[in-house]
Amino acid sequence: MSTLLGWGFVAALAALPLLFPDPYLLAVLTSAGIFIIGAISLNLLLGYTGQLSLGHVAFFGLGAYASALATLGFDIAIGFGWRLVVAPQPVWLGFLAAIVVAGGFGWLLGRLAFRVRGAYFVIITVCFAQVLRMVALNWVELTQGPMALISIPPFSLWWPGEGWIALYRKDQNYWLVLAVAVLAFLLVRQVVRSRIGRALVALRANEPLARSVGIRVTHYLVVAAVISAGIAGAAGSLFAHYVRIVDPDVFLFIYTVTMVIMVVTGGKGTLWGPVVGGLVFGLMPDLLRGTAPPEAQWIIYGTAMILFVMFLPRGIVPALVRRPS
Amino acid sequence: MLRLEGVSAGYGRIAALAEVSLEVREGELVSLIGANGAGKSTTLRTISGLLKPTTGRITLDGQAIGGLPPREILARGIAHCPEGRRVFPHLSVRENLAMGALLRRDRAGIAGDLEAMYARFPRLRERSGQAAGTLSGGEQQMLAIARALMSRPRLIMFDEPSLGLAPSLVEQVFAIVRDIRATGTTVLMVEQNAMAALQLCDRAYLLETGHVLRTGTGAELLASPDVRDAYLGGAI
Repeated sequence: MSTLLGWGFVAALAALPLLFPDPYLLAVLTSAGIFIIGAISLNLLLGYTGQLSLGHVAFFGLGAYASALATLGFDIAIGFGWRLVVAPQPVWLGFLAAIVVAGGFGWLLGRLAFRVRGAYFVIITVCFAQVLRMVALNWVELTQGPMALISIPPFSLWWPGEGWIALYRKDQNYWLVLAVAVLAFLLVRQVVRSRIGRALVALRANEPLARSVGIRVTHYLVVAAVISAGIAGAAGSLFAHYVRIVDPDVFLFIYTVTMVIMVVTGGKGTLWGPVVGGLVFGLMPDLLRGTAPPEAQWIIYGTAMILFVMFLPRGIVPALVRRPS
Repeated sequence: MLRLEGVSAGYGRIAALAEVSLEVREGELVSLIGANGAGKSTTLRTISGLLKPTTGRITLDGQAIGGLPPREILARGIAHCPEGRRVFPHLSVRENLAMGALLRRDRAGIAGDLEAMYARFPRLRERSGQAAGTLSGGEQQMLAIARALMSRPRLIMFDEPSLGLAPSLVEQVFAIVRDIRATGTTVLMVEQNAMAALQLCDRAYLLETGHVLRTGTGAELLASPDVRDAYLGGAI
């Protein structure tokens, strides 16, 4: 039943550009969609392992930079008179590079950070994102620093009968983000329903007990971190080729906060939570822009957030789907 | 079978065990008794690898196992039923049992053992699809014991199996512990209910502030005046 409802929801979203071909609406939904993918990936860490990664935007930014740099090409000094030269690559390769680079850093951060958990993990993840922002600002040769990477090519896809087509139009990008979001959702669902997911649920509930039945705590946490980071990297790549400009602000703390808000209000540890929370808080700023005076917009946003957290502390989705627990 | 020689362990800078030496022989039922904070649970946690010993030697059949990760110690045949919340509340009864066999790869054997657990604890079969958190305290304890048995341990360690259970259930749990020993599994048990533990066990160790104060057979300790005074409420 819920599967049917889910696919119906996806079908409705897919049909939307045909029914309402309004570029502004599609642009808003596309940006929200990219952050929802980020929120889906964060949920795997925050919701299922219980670890609050406040540097999640790091993986998003890494993906954006990796994908942009791979498609633009670069030529940097790497010491001892050697230079690393990469010619511009096709966008699909940039997309893969984003996933691999972000996933690799997810592994590294997981190995380092899961030795310490709780508050220390939060601090390490915050620092991690800040350090990356500083690197992006100052490694001008690679990242152009605050001048930003510009003229990033749009995403291109191979389409039967058409060959490679570059996605310039709003509806094309909308569909692309929707497709990746569905894939991310299905991947996380698969992980959560597998042995890994059961191990994560067991860990969150009772770590000493989980260890005593032989669950390798660090191993499973690192696996979750890698998958989560890889998905966030994919979202970053979509962002880079959609906005087509990447500057060090992709590492801003506020983007992490946005993703955390989406996950927590929607319902952490539920598959639909980040989607629902993401739609509510991803679209709210744009809805308010048309209806409320500028000075009131963020007051309403903040009040709504507080009300959600006060009255639905476990999130919107758990409140809708009442399960015995 | 299991031997601890001069084992110390602690939490951060606080030492909870000071040079504990004890032995569990094949097929025995050994009890650890003592007041709160005597180091009973810490002893079990150190044996199962949840805590690393700071000094001393832990051997299983002569092989050193001190400091190995819990997974490795479980694989060598020592299962631990920790104190506190004993089941994974959000997983179903069946999933909880499957967790106990996490390290095993013999599907047929696991399925057979699952069936055996259901036969032994019919309540668990009735509730196999239910979240373990919705079971009663007694049922959760049965589930915890069954889960520990699912790893086919040679030595099973119980931490306060009777804690928080109604008196009739306490009887039942002790009967199960006796049963497990009767089928050839060695048992090391921490128990607050010293009287019951001493009557049940072959041998016992009395711990106080992190070291072994007295040891002997259950009957010897029951007769010992300081055990009677301190733990059995004086003259009975």
